[in-house]
Amino acid sequence: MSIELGHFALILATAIAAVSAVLGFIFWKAGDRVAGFLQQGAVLQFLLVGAGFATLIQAFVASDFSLKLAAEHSHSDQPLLYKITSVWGNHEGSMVLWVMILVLMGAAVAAFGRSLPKDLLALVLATQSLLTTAFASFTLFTSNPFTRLTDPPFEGLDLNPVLQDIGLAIHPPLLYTGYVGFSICFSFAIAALISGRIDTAWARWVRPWTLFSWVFLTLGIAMGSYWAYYELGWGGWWFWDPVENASFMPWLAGTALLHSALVMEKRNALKIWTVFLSIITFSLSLLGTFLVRSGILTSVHTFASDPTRGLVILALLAVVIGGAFALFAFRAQSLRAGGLFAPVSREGALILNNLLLATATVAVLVGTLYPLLLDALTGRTISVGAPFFDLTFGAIMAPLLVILPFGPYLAWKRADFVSVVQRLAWVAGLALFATILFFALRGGAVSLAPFGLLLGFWVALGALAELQDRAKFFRTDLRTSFRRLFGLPRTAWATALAHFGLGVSVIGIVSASAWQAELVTTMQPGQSAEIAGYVVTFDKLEELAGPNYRSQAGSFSIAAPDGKTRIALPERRIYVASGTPTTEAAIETYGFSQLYMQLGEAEEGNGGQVVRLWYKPFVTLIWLGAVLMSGAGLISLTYRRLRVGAPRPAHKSVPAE
Amino acid sequence: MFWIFAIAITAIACAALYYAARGRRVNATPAAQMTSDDDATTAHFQLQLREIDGDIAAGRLSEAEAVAVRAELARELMARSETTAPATGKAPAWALPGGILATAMLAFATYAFLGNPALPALPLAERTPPPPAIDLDDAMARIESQLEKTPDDARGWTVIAPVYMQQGRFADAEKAYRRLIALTGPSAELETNLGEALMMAQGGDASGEPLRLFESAAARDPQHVRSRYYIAGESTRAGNFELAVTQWTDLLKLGKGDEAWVSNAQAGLAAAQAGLGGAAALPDDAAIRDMVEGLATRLYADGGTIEEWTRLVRSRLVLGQTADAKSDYDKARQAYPDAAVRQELDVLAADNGLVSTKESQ
Repeated sequence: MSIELGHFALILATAIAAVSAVLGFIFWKAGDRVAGFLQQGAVLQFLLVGAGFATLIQAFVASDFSLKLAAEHSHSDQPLLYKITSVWGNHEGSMVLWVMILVLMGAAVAAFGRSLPKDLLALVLATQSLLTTAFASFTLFTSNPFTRLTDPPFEGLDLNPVLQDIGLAIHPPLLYTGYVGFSICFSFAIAALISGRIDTAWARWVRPWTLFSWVFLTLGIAMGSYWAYYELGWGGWWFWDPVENASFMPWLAGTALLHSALVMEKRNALKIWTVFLSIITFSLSLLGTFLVRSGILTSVHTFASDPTRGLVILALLAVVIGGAFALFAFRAQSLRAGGLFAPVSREGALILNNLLLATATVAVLVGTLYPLLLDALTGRTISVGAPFFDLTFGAIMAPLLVILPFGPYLAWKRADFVSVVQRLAWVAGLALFATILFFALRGGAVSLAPFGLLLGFWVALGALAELQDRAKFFRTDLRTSFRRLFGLPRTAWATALAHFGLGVSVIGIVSASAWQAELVTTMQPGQSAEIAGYVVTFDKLEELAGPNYRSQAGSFSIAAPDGKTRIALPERRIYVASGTPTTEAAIETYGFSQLYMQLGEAEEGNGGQVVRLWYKPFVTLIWLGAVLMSGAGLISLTYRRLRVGAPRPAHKSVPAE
Repeated sequence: MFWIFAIAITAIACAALYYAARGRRVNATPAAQMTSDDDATTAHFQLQLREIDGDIAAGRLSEAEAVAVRAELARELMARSETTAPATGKAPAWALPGGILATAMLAFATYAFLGNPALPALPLAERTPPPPAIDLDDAMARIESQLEKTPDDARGWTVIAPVYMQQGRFADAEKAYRRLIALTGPSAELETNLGEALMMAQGGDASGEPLRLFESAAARDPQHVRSRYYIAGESTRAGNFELAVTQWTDLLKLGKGDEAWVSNAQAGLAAAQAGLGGAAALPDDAAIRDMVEGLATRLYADGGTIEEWTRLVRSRLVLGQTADAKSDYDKARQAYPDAAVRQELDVLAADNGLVSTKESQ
């Protein structure tokens, strides 16, 4: 019965959302009572969807195969964790997770939003309820997770073995929180457009939501990338796969939004652009959902392709995005533009940042959609792969990275570019030195690598230099400097840390791409192979049995250049229920670098094994940088004091600081 | 029961919405309820002014900068008070109660369309699994997957090995018996079973490892009939009739005379003697036929032990009555659906191509 109650709870939540949306949009001016209704409605939606989600989890944990979803995607032998993650390891369940996070966000606005103007609150919650209605109805009517079987089987079909990993517990919830979090920014933008009011209080609300979503999206993408890296077994961490791009586009737009929301909160400028970016960012999140869920693309993310679902999502997408942009076109001129500023100023730098990020987003968008459109319209299949993206995206990101360290140095409203260049000159010198040093140590052919490294060091060191500059190190005594350093607002630390993290990621990307060593070989027990100074010896092949799989594990000992030995166990697994084979790579981390081993096919008869080995120098910096960026976002999020960006006074006689 | 819960949930949700709409939100602080939009805005600007003062005190902002910031805030506040129109409008009295009613109706209508209120939850732990013999393939698959995880489970191998034999999967049977011998140590029975599997894999030829296994089994247990039977049979097959006659004769001494294998052994002895050129010492063929028919009539009417069924099938085969043997075999499988108890019968049937096409029910 609990499954049916969960089903009913989800339906009731949808009904509340639908009524909330209608009442909210018609009577948003009516003040307290409507706002109270919507707030209570938002909390109820969350409680009810949560209850529905809990019954699904309960049914999966109890292996209740009268639930069609559990019969198709679970197995009684799965460990408890995978029974739980199986709930969203499929199309229907992942949509429930999507809706679940959507209503969680709505409930958070309802709970924290009591001090918001009532009309704004009513409009935000009405928009949020409209989204909930749309996506919950889509879930219920085209992909109902609560479909039952009257004659249930005694065993389930098992979760796709590739997904039987801790990654499924981490990556989708993080990514969805990021995706769906931007719905709040979207709802605030719609509310601003309808009410025609947009002020600093609005920005004060949008910025934390942007930060929050951005932090989770960053972590979600980074964890997804690392999961793909260790699970799919081809040793790559980013493939410019359309599904990856689908998550990357909202990230780029969200990063732009983050920066423009900053300008808006502190300086009350860039309002219309911020509204526009809020709509764009969530639209790209929806586009991502469409690309992944419609079955247009085939990847590990596509669970089942069903043309009806694709069409319905496309229609939803058209209504939500089209409606939002139509609203924007009609109402944008009614919004009052904000404060003025000179071209060379913090605001100006952030606009440049926004333009470059937006261009990069468009480049990725074109590269992702063009093949799909061409295929749909002419039937011609072309493949836009890594070379296109490396070139266009790289060409756009390079200038962004070049100007990045200047930004935090510039004063608000008007700034002195020459003095900033002078203050950053030594950073450029240091970055060049670090690059030459790094390059000399690693060696290698002439390539773009030194340029990439230079950019990475430039960004990372520039971020640190900003802290140094604000603390006045070397310009005053050490004690004063340290006092100033720790007296800096947390946002300054967050900015520096985030930019430093970006630099770290760039260094990791360049290094792992330029100096990666790869070796594919056949090894018999007792044989050794050498890669990048590491001697890998194949000791033996072991048969292991897991809870729902059996595996052949190659036991390899790795002798590192420093003389220490480690044992690595790459595996080939067969999942018993589905008979699906998977490979489990063995990854050994040495400092920031990794040795990646994959066990390929067995050779007929002679006990030989195909072994793939990669040495990836500084590869972990890629994800470490992403974690630093997310951490910086969290730090900034904890800082809720109102900061007013002080403009540089117009009188030239006053010193810049 | 479901509907009671569903109505209760809906009632609670609707009540919560109704009270919220009446302005009696639970946990609502009076201050939050009183805050009007203008107050909120003013409070926001005052907060900003306090932050600027704080920044000056902490030395983060120079006096000149502070003046510029304050000037901007003042301009902002003035601009705002010019443009902001107070939110006006009133929802009609029926709107919110109507919305609540619509919510409940929408929920029940949708659920009536999509739900299965009568269907109970069926957690696996509360369900009785089907008897394993219903679908042999399914049962085999389950035992096999269980053995993947617990390859040391001797009981599992004991159950599955004869089924492999019956299905003609001699290589799998061989693997299973070898595993069993490794797990429980060799015994005359197991060695004979393994030998049987190997012999069948060789198309009935027991030379080589099978024969060695049978001899080992016979040495292990001097009273062991089946191994001696195969040894004698192999001697006969190989044309070693003198030895065969001795072995058959020795074997027949182990029996009391009414065992199922005795008639076969007698036939073997006769064949060996015929090979030697001696006279056949067979009982009268017609008398045997009568005995077999009598046994069949009794078993079909009153049932009997699995040993009796096995003897019946074996006798039919010796007499060349293959069609009868097949129907006897099917009947026996119906009487004894558990493959574990009819090992010998299954092996016999498999040896003679009697693998049943339809699964026993």
